[in-house]
Amino acid sequence: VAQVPHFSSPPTYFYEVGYDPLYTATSSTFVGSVLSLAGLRNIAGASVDGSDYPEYSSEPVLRANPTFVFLADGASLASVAARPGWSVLSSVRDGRVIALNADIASRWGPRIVELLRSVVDAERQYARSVRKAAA
Amino acid sequence: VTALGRKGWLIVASVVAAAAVALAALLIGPTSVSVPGALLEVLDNLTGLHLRTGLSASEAAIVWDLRAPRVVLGLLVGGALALAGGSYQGVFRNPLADPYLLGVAAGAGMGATIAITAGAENALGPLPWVPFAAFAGALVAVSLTYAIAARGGQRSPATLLLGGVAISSTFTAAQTYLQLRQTQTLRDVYTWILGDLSTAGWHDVLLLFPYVAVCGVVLLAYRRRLDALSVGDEEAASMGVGVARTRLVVLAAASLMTAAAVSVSGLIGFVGIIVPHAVRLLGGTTSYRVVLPLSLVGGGAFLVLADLVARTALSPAELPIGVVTAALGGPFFVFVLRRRGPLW
Repeated sequence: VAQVPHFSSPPTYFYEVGYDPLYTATSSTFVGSVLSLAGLRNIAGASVDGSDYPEYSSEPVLRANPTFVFLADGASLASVAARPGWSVLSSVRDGRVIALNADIASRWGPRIVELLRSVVDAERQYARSVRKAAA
Repeated sequence: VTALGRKGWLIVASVVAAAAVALAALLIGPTSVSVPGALLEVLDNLTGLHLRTGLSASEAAIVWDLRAPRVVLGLLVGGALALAGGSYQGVFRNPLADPYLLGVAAGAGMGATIAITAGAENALGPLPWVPFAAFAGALVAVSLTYAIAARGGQRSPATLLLGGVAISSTFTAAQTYLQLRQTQTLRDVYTWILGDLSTAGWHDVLLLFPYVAVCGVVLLAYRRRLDALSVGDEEAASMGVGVARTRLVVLAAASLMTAAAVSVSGLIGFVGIIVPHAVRLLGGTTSYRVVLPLSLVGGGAFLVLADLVARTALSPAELPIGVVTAALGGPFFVFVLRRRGPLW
């Protein structure tokens, strides 16, 4: 967590639990709290219609254009890019769609540290690219 | 009344209503997009004029890649299910006949369940395995139903119906067993059974369109023969209608169209029963010359409306569309029945 880069405003993310239909995890889930530790903001908020794992529309994902898309369902950058409309996401264009190891992301235990590590790695890479663009 | 006649006006009115619903569904969604921008975006894509829509890339994608295919698919699936339902009711002279009668739903559900529980979607690459498996399952189940009825000898509608019941129960049993063995995919299977258009894209439209076009034309061409059949088999034969052939062609076209529709949308219930009956009651006629075209248009409008509710009622959450068709359709049907009395 100490290695989390500093951003002027927290980067956003969409956490995908399943596609067809699309399911997400909100910030009030366990995995959501881990991502909050990493300084990220969930585009779905704390809960949707009283549910922490709601079936979610694609429209608000395209509209929010999250900095990161985390996939915990075996999908990949290529399969996300092939979905109707999703190719306009900047995370798809710039490769910030991160396919997580589904075992680590969904079976919580000591290895949750590895999940945090892959998230922080993605953030640091993003921070570098932002700095490069600014320079 | 006029040169167009009552039937003509009914069809014009239903087409206008369907167009209005489709337009509303393009303009309304979980996120708001400016109305003139959305209209220009659709026009731009239809004409290739390169208009200045004033929409951002994500807004353009929301209108043209997310909403538009859902609307078109809703029109196709709803029209197909309602037209098939009306045709089944005519062939069997049974007001409760619906597109899932001959095992189409059970077969498609079995095929989809096998594909989902086997993890085909992730393991076998980007091909749409679930629709393909659902389509194959539906065709296998319907063929088995026909084979049973044919071996029964007289090929009466009753034998076919009972064959459908037997095949449906067998397939449903196998499907339930598979579901319970693979509980981690239970949600995926269950959502598919309830029907879902939430991830529909243009490729789904392209997949379904040929089936609806060909089978729809065949069914509409047979609407006069269904009118003759509604009087009775012998009477129809005396009017020069080939009864056995009519029955076979109508059943084959309706089943194929239903199988194609459910393979892209999942099992959306109630459309095939409710829409043709609502059309009969509102249109004040039981003639298939009117009921079939109106069912095609009305079914499409109904499903687009149901999908609009599915994606906006709890937005940004989504509801399975089968839940909406049942919740909207049931009470509406009761209302129409109580107002106008039975008309069959």
